[in-house]
Amino acid sequence: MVDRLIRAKASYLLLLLFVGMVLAGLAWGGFGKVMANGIVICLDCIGLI
Amino acid sequence: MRTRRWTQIAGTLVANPWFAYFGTRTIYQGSAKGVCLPGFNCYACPLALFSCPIGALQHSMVLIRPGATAGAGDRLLGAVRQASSVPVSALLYVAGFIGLIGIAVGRLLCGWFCPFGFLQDLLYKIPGPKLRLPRWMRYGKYFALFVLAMLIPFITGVHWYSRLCPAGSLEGAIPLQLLPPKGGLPPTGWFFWLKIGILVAFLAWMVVTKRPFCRTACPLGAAWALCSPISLHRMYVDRTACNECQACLKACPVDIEIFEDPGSPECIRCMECKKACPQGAVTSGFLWNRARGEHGCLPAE
Repeated sequence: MVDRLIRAKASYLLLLLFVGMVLAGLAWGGFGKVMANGIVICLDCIGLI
Repeated sequence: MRTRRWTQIAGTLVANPWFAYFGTRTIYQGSAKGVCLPGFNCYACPLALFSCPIGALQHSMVLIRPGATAGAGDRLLGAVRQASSVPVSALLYVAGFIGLIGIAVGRLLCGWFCPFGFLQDLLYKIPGPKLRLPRWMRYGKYFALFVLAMLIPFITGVHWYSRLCPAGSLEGAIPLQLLPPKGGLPPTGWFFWLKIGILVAFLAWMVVTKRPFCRTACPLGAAWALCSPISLHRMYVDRTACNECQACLKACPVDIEIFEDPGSPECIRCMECKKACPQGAVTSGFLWNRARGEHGCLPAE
């Protein structure tokens, strides 16, 4: 019972942590900046260079 | 057709709706490319609208290196995007996104949404001799996640997982060779053919083994597998009703004995076992539903 409670609480805590990470990433860098800087299309990644 | 097939088709279309490429021959680089797709789909695919979370994760690892700059491919596409101001925020965003999906629903989207998982389900339907996957090979995906997609990109500054990724070959490299973007492409080298070799090997394996890529090499599946046992959405087995007839094992697309381990990290929550169980012993639901006794959820102990 205690183990189940701990696991259930851990799930909710991790959910909060990950939501916080997403929001912090967006807020800190700015949504536009994250989109502009964090994601690129690399042709070398697909073996074409 | 089953509901899951429809959601997999929808997932493939949602991931790849940029049909404007056929007219413009320009890979979409707008703001939607900054949104991670909750599935494995190469964002260099000419039709891709969203980004691959593993590609984005690797790029974030490259960006947090001191003095990091964008890669050669960016220069080729005229999209040099140095990330000096926000490298950590990009990593927070991408890692948070992957973790958020994993802790919410485990690997459910592998079974219901992922375009590459859909391809594997289809290829396994080809009749012929079938092989079971040795258990130890499951650990390969954790190597793919921690070493190929995180550690090596951080050390070398090169997106090594993407360089070898068979989904990238199938959805990005081959279509771009057949329909090159405006401005053309450089000539292919030996690395291109190495990638094609890896792709062909995986495609052949998919015909004889259930979802071999998901189970041995998918870093996204590995990340979600780590979250799966404690995710909010879980599978349950009523051990008093289960008679271990193994109907669930026969129906399972990843060969899990769910009656042994309902919280298996390998489970993709496809619900095939739930449908196959003649006793109705397999159920599923979110933690809060279980607390209220919905979904027929019974104590696992």
